[in-house]
Amino acid sequence: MYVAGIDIGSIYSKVVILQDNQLIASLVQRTGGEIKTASRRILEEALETLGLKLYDLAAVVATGYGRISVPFAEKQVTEITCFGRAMVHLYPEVRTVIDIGGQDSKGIKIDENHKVEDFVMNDKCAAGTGRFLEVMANALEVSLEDMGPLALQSKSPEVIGITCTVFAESQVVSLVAEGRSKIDIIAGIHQAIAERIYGMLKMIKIEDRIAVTGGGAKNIALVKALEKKIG
Amino acid sequence: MSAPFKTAGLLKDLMAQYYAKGEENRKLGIPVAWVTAVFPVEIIYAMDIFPYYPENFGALAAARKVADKLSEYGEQQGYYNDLCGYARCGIGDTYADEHPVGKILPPDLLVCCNTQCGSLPKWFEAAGRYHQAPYFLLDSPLIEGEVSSLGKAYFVEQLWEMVDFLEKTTGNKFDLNRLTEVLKLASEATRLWNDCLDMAALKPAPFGFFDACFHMAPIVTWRGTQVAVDYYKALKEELDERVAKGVTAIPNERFKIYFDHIPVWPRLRWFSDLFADHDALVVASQYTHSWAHKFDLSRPMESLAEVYTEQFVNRGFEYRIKLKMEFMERYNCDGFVLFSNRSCKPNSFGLYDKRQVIAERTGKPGVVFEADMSDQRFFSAGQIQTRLEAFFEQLEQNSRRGKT
Ligand code: SF4
Repeated sequence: MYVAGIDIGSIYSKVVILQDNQLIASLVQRTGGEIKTASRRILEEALETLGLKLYDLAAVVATGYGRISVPFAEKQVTEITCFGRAMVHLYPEVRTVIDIGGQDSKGIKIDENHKVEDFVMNDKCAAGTGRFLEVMANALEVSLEDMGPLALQSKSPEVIGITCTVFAESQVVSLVAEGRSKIDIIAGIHQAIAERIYGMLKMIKIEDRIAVTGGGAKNIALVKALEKKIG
Repeated sequence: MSAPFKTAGLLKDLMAQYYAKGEENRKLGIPVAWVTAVFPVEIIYAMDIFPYYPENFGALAAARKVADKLSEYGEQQGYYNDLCGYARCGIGDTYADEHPVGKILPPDLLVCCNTQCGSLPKWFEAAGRYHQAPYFLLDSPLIEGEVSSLGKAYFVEQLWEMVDFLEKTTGNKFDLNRLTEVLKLASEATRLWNDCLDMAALKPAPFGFFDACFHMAPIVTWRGTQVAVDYYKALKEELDERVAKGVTAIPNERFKIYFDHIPVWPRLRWFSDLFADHDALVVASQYTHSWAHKFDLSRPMESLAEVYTEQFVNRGFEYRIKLKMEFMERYNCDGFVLFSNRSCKPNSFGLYDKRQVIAERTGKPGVVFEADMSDQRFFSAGQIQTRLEAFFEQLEQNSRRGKT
């Protein structure tokens, strides 16, 4: 039996296809255009690699902020519950998930039965999310992938205030204009994001073990900064 | 929301009459006093003064989805968009050259009680200056811990000062016997209102919080009059009828939810549909219970002081937590939703901590979402929906595991 999961995030869309509980295909693409057609396209592309068609799937579950706009999904489930479920398969010992996505960061507590016990999400501002990092990378003319490794080289990170993405961006721009080291600025940005996420996580009690997910998990400096905060 | 109530038509007529009556009354020599929602309006009625509720005006504008438009007129005068949305609507309408919900009624005098918040006194002060009308403030210091007899005495003293102020500015006389009659009517209306609210505890319930938000206008504006008593008698009868006929608030009630505090007026329908889609009925809120008090007719002034100063809106952290938990228990709630309202600081303060404490003490899931009660510019549907749906999924998980 084939089943698929589709996650329409604010920046990236992801698809996984499972056969009898085994992952057989996955695909990640930038979320672009109208979700209704884009979600169908990415799923069909993933199916094509297996020589399958939409009607071969026994069930499709959609998640992510675009979940309600996926017309062919049998069920819509929030990312929060999906993370809880995912950990059953991936890392059953995980009790806290830190998800750093494009427009949200989340903290999710999972109990021993893999039930979501508690969760928090950032408020409306993009500060502390992947989008924030992207805005800063653009302002600094550095590729998003290089941000993490560069931050690790810094010895004395700048202090960046991130109550607001727009203000933080202008602060970064003026630090560059003052001739401050880009590496220290980048390191400061990572610390600021980690602090913001950590502040949010304190609202749920962080418990071992911890998993970091979302695009932010691919950023080594961010994960390290978080590790340092959490201790 | 439930199928339309018969009483809803009655309410519309009554409200239209009330709004029309202000100007008519003024022509007849009855003074118009601006009053606040949690205020001893019984004294105003007892002195034959017409009470006008600018907060209701704000809620009406919000429900009709024009609060942002009116706000902008206020913002152009320098009133910042962080202020209470009701105040922004009221102030905005004063300066506006369009009046989508009719004109806010100018006051002959203004009386305000700060038991609710610090926004109202400032708004009324500004309106008093603008309309050049006399203004009286009833000061009700915050009760952080225990109630003190000193605080009550201080308030009773002020009630007498206010009576003095009202007699001087309007020329109308105060009479204690007349006040007792008004209090009797107020008690009767609040008792009936309470009975209606309690119907939400039935499972399935004929009536929920979103319905209560619709039917609460008379208890806010007319408590102390026969009109409010008659209205809630009619509503109670209709609810009893619904129970007898098996008419329920939502088609398939499985979860009962506690909700804090004011609803997001321009999205009332959006919220009630979202809850109903997940078989959840909001059954209680401290907000709609703000007018479910009792008076002791043998001590009118003291009783007024107790009711209006010891309200939860004037209480500390622990009291508010206990109150919410009491409601959750009384209405058998499976979870709770707390609305962090940009407009209303005193009711949004410490909500994240409250959520954590209540969740720990009750073992029930709870969620906080952010928005503004009146202004759609601060509404982000996707963000709120994800939080609430994750919360509904928690309820489902619990019910599957037999925890609810
Ligand atoms: S909504 Fe809050 S801030 Fe505004 S008038 Fe009411 S109590 Fe005061």
